[in-house]
Amino acid sequence: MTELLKIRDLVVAFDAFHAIDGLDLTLEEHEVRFVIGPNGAGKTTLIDSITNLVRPTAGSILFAGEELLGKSEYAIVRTGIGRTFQKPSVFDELTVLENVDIAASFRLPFRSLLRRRKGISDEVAQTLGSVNLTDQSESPAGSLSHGQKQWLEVAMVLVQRPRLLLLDEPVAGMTEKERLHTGELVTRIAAEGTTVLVVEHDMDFVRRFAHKVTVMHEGKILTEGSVAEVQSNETVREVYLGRPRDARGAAEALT
Amino acid sequence: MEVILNQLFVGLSIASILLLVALGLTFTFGQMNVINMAHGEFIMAGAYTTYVLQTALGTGFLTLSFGLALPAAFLIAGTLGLILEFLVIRRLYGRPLDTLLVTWGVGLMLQQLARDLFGAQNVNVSAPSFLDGGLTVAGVSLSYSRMFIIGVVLFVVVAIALYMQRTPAGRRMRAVMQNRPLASVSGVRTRVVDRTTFFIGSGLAGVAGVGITLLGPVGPTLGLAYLIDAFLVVIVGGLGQLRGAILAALALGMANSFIEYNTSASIAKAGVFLLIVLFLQWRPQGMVVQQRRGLAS
Repeated sequence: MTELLKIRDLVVAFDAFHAIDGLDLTLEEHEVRFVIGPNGAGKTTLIDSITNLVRPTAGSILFAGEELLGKSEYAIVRTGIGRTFQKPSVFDELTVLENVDIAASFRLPFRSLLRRRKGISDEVAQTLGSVNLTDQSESPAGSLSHGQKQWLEVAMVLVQRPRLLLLDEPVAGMTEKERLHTGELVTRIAAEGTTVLVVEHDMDFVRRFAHKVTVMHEGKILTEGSVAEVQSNETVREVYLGRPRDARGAAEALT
Repeated sequence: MEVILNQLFVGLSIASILLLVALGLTFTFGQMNVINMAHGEFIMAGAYTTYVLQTALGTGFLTLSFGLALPAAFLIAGTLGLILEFLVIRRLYGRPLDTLLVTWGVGLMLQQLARDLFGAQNVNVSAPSFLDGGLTVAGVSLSYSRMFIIGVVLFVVVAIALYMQRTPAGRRMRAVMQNRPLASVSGVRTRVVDRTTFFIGSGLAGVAGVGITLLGPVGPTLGLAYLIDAFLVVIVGGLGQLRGAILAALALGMANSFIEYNTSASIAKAGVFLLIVLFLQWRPQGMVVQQRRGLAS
């Protein structure tokens, strides 16, 4: 196994507050890693700093041996990293097909963007099929249901064939059936060779689909291990139970 | 009946000029939220481009110089816009008040530059001979130059619509304006899109300048007169909405023409302002609002 992503001593500071405070994380190629943690642990900030939507204060993020810090957003996309957002984020006024097309043409030079393209490439069609959105391809993305928007977002990332996929709470607000479908989709993506990092709140989902789990707390990694190991870890229990507003999550996490 | 027809044509004619000067702003102000007070000077630059071409080619080639002026003014004003974006505006994104003050200053500098180059006196641009005269339909006289302006506006509107709807580059522009973070992590070079948007918006101001030479003499402060009207059209229409800008220009043009017929030019101006204030109380987002559903904004 080779290391695909290697984060060392990462610090993200918003004034005096350190959202990420000296974090080390290593992902092997082809692994599926779930990241959990109480609210405010810095999970989304972690994804934001890998994709350069926030600028880390210190540390290093190596992707396949290449330093990502200081690269622009689109350059990072080109190295093979794709992500989704916590709130479903699609271009509401463009059609489903146009949404995927924008993502799919990320390597094209500007000149070719002035010509009208006819038809759908196989890749786009296939990706739309894999998230069950073929029938909606001409509808505006804004008219999709919450769950469908999240799938569309996944499709926009998948069509770029990333080596590393970062999913931020992919099943938030989904129905039970949609969760199951999403879980299967993630498993299938991983089986095709993509490394996946999933930030997730839904412990039921984590238990069902996770092998290796990383627990974050106050901007640091608390522990890593299998679902069972993490659940029986004393410090993890303390972190969840010690903060009353997360009591519900804790109860879910530990039962 | 004749009166109504005549005022309709006058209204349409005013609307076409309003829309012409506002189209560029639907990009820079509407899409990018940049308040560029130098937009009027880009219009002025387009007008002087026509003058320079006409002087250079001589009066024998009025039609040719006028035809060349349209693309040339687009490129010149667009390039001025690119320079302004690169030197000033990109450092001020998200700071509308600072942008307003700085670009106002840039506008004054451009006016002075025009005075130094062409003199403080107004210059005259002669219209090509095929635009002399007019047509009389049902007792209403339609001048060719006004009809030409309407034609230019229609052409520009169709071109913009095709660019925005049909080309991948136009879709990217809409994508960046709808959701910038998502666009950037989808691999869109948002900086390139910003620059392109600014180039097109400023270039359209230049095209407007060419059209305006048909209406009267050209002077260094020419753009100022149209700047406020252009902002009003964009605001009343709804930010960044081409359809809204068209509707707003038509509404303001017609209101102006019909109030003016019954009263006077200044009363009409005041009346239109009053209507705008009332309208914005009722619909602060303007005529056409982006449709959104769900939590994402």
